[in-house]
Amino acid sequence: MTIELPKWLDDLRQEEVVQRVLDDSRSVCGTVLGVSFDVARNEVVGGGQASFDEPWRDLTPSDRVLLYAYCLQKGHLEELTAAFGMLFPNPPVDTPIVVDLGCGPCTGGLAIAGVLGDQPCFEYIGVDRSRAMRKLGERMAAATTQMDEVRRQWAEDIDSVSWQPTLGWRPVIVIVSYLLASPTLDAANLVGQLELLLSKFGRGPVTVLYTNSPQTHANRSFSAFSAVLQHAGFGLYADDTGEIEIERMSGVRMRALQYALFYRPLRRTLELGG
Amino acid sequence: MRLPTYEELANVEEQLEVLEYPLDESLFVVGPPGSGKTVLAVQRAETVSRWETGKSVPIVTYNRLLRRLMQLLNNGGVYPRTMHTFVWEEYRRRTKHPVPTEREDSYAYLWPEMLGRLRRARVVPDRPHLVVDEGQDLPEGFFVYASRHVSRTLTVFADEDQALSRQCTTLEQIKRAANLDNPIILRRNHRNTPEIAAVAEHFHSGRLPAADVTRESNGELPRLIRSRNIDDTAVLISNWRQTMGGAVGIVVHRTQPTGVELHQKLRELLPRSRVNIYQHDERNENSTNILEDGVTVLNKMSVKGQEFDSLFILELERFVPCENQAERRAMYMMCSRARDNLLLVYGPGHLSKKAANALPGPQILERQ
Repeated sequence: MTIELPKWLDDLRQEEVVQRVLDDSRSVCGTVLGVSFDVARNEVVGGGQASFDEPWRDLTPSDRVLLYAYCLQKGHLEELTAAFGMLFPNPPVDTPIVVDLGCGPCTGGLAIAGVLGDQPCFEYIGVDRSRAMRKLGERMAAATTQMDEVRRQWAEDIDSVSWQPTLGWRPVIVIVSYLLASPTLDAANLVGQLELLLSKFGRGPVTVLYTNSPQTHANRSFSAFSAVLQHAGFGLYADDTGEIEIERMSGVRMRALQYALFYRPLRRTLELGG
Repeated sequence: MRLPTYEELANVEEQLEVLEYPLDESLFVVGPPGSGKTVLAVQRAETVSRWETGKSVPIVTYNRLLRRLMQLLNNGGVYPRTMHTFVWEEYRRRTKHPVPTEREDSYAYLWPEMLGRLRRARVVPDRPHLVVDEGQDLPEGFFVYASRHVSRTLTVFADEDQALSRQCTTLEQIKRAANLDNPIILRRNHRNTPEIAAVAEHFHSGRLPAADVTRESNGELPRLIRSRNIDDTAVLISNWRQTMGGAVGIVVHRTQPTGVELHQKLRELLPRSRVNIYQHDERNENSTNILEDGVTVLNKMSVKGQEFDSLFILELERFVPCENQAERRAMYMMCSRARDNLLLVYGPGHLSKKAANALPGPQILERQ
């Protein structure tokens, strides 16, 4: 079945990303903001691994993240929409906390908002080291009524997330997509920081969804990440390559992906020393 | 791509529920107010009793009124005792000696001396099971005593976030002294409305997460009320009782003189209702049927473990501002006794600025 984005999300992407790129005075002679599509994707966006807060030639950080969204976000939204659609055929009962690590322009937040029914209610924490990316994420989230009931906060890294010190049992959904390609990523450190954040939320169940391109380099840190997560008490419920059916102007085609799902039930045993 | 649904994942977490836990294994359970610890304690003791073909299973707790509640909840096979009475009887039965105590305080048991005598006399556990409720309020020595000389199998319920004294026994101390595994957490509050739970949670500190409240809102915010004098307070409570019915609890700082005076006035105002006062030193708990509708006047120590449809906490200025963690825990414990309505009463003077600041805001606690 072809994965279709909800209409509101497709409209949002058209208005906030596609039209802004195409209407820009620099987008002439088949270029996007003055560069060819290939240059935009491979050099300006760097396959998603660029330092977006630095200018690239004449392009500002805002231009670069807009091009990132233009080149890559649709496919990411489709992958996550497919994954969340399988995970949540029914919306969860409790208001979840969604932690989107390497959130880009609110990609995971928008995808899950499209799956959890009309005006879904959840807490969204978007973590991305790029300020320009977070800014675009908030602009996109604020531009749709679908996100009206979603309380949002944005952080540069996991340690900067602020949280009221009330412990609870709310379910947590962590999205770790497209993050583990970074050659500098320390998986043990990432999981350690994540555990610290989860401990501030309380003892609720935690779901970790991972998706990425199936190319080897994109998943270079996955096995270390998976091992550390399982050591921390997470069960691995899916770890595979697969594909989703998508539609482009050229017609219907398959999009391959690597995906994994981890889950740790709510922790009802209080670990005491001694 | 193939992923399980979230419901399928959640079903993986087959948690061992207290009542399904093997009856011949020790069990340690911690849980917030309203999570049903006392009811579960009684049910576990009853189940063990049936399994042990009718042998009576002791259930030990902190205060006499809670012991009374357990007696009322008991459907047979359960033997509720306060810790002091239980140890007094049990120690004498096994050693033929009275419990050694401090010279000035017959409640202060000398645990090292008792444990030494029991060890020398080679007294081994002879009861199949012992259930303990409100374990955080019992001394550490009791748990050593219970596990070495009463029963090899203990079920202990505790919540250190509600401990009243500063010298409460920590969960670590209970675990070590009674040789228990890590505790299971009960996570649902079945007692309070969400509005009452929010007021109680305002005073909550500790390491247990805020409980998930299972009840629906009844649309009633807890109220803060100023009363000019005890006559006004008595009229307020009697009107409330006549209008709302149900079980009404009234917590006073001390039963003498406020509680006694209020009790008299309420008896006159409510001649057809049950109106009781529980006084620790009068040992009158057996004449109080706290499960029946009516009015019960009691103090902070005795309200522990109880629940009422409506709860009035009088003399609020004596309980707030909470100057230390023990006082915060006391407010947390007291507020969470209310099922449907919570009323905090002060007066005749104004609350101090510090006391007023210690209370939740008007969106949680309505000012009247």
